[in-house]
Amino acid sequence: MKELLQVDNIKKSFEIKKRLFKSAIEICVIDGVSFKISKKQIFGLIGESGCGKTTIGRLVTKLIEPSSGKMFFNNKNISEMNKNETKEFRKKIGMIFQDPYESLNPRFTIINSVKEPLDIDGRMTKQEKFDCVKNIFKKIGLDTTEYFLNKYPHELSGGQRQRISIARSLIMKPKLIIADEPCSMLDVSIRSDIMNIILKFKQELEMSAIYITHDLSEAKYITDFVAVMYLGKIVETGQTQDIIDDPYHPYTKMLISAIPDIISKFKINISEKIPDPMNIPHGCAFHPRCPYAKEICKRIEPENVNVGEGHLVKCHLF
Amino acid sequence: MNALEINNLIMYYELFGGNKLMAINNISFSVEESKTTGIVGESGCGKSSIASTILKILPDNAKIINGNIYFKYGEIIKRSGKVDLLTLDKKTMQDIRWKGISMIFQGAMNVLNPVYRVGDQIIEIMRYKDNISKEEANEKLEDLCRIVNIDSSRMKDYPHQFSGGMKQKAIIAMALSTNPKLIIADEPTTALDLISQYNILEQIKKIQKKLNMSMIFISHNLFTVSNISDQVVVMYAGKIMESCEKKKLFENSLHPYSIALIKSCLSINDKKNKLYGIPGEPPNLVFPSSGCAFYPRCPYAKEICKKIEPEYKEIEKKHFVACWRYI
Repeated sequence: MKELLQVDNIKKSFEIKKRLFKSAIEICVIDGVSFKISKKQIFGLIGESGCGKTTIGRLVTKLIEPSSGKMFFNNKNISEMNKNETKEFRKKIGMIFQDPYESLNPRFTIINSVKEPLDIDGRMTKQEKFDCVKNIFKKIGLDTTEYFLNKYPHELSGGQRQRISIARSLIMKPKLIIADEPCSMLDVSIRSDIMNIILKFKQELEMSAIYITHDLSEAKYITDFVAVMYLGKIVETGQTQDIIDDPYHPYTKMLISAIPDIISKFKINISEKIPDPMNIPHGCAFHPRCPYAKEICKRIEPENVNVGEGHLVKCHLF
Repeated sequence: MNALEINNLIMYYELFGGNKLMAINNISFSVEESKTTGIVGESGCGKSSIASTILKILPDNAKIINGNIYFKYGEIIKRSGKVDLLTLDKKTMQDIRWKGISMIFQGAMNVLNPVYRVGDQIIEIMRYKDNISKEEANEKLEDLCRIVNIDSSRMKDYPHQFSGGMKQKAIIAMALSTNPKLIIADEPTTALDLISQYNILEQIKKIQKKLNMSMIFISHNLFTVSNISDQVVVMYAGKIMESCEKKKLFENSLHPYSIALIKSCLSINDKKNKLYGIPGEPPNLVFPSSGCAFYPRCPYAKEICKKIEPEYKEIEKKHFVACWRYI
């Protein structure tokens, strides 16, 4: 089978207690999401904050369990893995977190942070580990002198820290990495470097990636396929170039016109109403903000419509 | 007429061990009345230091050794004509803050006090600065809510109940509450997602037109700055590299650093497949090299760039560049 990761109709809901002595409310954060990732493919997840992008990242890495639905990694069901299998599975995935200032242990020197996965694996000698770290630092464009390796995270700039988190996630040579907004906290000039590193390793290690972002212009540069999410559902999915050249869903259009750019492609009214995951609207979840909303959108939830090669849209307009 | 004029400003931070970090190195620029000046640059280039120097809210180890900051509206502190902010004492400076110049701080998440209600924090400033009664302040708060587009019933909430975009809007309301003449916006949209970023920028633009304020807009994103400003200042290593109208910056930027910055920006309309970072590291401001600060990363570096620092010169009207290529 070609697919590295297959996600099949997963749902995840959390319980929230709003008031003391009142029963908890269940809110559905991920509602029936399915996608596939093949080898050497970068898959982008795009959406506003609070739409469930990060939750998908956490579900795929088995940090939390889904309420229903199945996920397969190399044809193995992720939720049914036992302890040993989970350990093996975690070696094959890496994660890059959003905030490089918080994801590194401030009390570890950077070499200790990066080689910790190798320590846990326990198969390499001390010298091999050291060489391995040096090797990956060289590829990522970091200094490999002893002096630098023994620095602490607070001595480094944001770009260097993010590179170190990338080095740490790549040191086990994973088959899949999950990059959760790796560039959103960084300067524009460093951003491009980080993305180039991910692209380079995609070629070198033949790995796949899930790239989570809210910026479509980032997604355009790095991803092959994208899925646009809105309130826990995928509303549009397809090849990146298709979606950017020819977006169908009004929400995708809205995201594209929100990008600050010199020339705007098209203008669509960007509604201020912030979606509230506590009470998701009936019918199409997007209809209160949608400029083209019709009567049917308020009542019936739209189904996936195929509008081109692998380009699926969830909207009543098509 | 310029609302704010900065001339030859030099400021450094004294470090432990007697070293000096030159944060602002001989900077001059101006903000026209009811116009916006944008400042762009990488992190650590001194953008935020300029903002805190204007308001004089610097830490104790910061030393201003040269320069003037002329602020046009002397009448706020009962003086006629423009005043030099750097000559004012602590108490008069208090009157300038909020009434004359207010600031939208970076990182909305950390600016609001978590144990006070959001509305109370805005009212506190109005009552302290404008000497108005509680009722008047409450009325004004409702107006402000309308301007920045927040439901006024939410003003009784605590900061943790607000989303990131709403906190940012509350801070903008706070900055507007005392009708300042000049607003300094220090990265107001960083760390927000695109749609809230877009909404906040539109809001700021609208408010500025309505209330006729001048503004300094600081950001590291070239597109955000170009979206909102009339004049753009490009900073690098505590110095201004280029300053021009925003249209010129994209059509005819002259300094290699501005060109590299534009190249490294992602654009959705672009067909290019390769993205360029700027090679090398940002310079060390404690031990600066001689000559032009950008020469180690500059593709056009010549022998002279290493030795002598280029002059910051006006090449065309309102277009200043500091580069040996144009002298």
